[in-house]
Amino acid sequence: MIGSSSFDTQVDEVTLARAKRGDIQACEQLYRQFHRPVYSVTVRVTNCSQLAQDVTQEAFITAFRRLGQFRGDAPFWGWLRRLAINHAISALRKQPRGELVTFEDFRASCEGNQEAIGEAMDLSEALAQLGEEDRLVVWLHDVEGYRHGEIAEVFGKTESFSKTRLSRARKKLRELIGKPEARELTGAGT
Amino acid sequence: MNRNASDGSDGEDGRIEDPLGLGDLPLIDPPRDGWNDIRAVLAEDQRASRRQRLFRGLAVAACLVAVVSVVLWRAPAGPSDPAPAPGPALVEAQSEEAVTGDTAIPTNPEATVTELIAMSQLLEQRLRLLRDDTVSMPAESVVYVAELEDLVARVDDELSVTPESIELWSQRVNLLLDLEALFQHQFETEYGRMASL
Repeated sequence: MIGSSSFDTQVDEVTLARAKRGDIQACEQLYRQFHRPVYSVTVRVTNCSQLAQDVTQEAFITAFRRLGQFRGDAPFWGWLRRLAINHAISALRKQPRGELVTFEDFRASCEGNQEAIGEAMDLSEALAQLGEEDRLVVWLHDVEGYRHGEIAEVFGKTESFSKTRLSRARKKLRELIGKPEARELTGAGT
Repeated sequence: MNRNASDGSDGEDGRIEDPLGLGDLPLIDPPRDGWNDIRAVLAEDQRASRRQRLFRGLAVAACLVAVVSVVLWRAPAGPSDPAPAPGPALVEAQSEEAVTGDTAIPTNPEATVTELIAMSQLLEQRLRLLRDDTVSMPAESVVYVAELEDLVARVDDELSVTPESIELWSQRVNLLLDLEALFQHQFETEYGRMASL
């Protein structure tokens, strides 16, 4: 599966139209609907809770300011998600790290099957342990669906850089969560 | 983004997109609600936008007033004007002008009344905007405003009897301009105070 399904929710057209006209209550509705997924994505990308909070705030402010430019020919969540990721990448480039994401951050958000929770937390922790570039490359490629060419543009490097980093990041993640590399044969040569 | 969500493949060569299931990771709750900060920024944006619109409106209106004024003042001076022979009222008005030194009476009274009415309407609109943005006013200014509004009301009474009177419409426009100047001054004072905070 690609991407966090939480973004993929229907937006009430009336609310969207009201928000476009600057209705603060409608903006709040959109914020309530999407602030958790936006924060989650920005945390995964930045690996820093403080920075992710700032980025989430900036992303929503930008979104509400530019809502008039949103034509509605693509889903709102996709537009908002892209905006949040761009803000997160930009923030990573210019801001010093703050408080890193911890095990507790994930535990507080998990509910349900204990085994699944354990695996998710392992993977979350493993992701958090990756270096910044590796984490960003694997997240952008595997979750956000960026192509290697697009990732290369983000970093100002070549596609080979993206492919190498992706391969390395996946390998490291597998090592960290203790899973064999069975599917990695399909790996990062894309 | 997420271009190949349906088949789970990369799209560049059909390989598996998310082999580790990163996309299935649970959501994380933000440690605090950031809505109040966002709301404050949006509210300030709206205030700034409103001020900008008002200034833009005033600038446009000022240009319009200037253009209409020039038209009104220059119209009678043209030597090639096919002006009709002046009637008794016009002669009387011209004599009065000579005494008082006021502006010339236009050769095309009908067009002028229309323009004055348009100016009057424009000024009413501007005044409405300025009134909305005026939080408070010194007592002295309030008295002036009341007097000017009283005079406008009197002119309106007279206009109800002679709705085509250029003189009355001119008076109305002048009174509205005075009113506007008062509100404009107050608005600029308030805006300057806000800007200095």
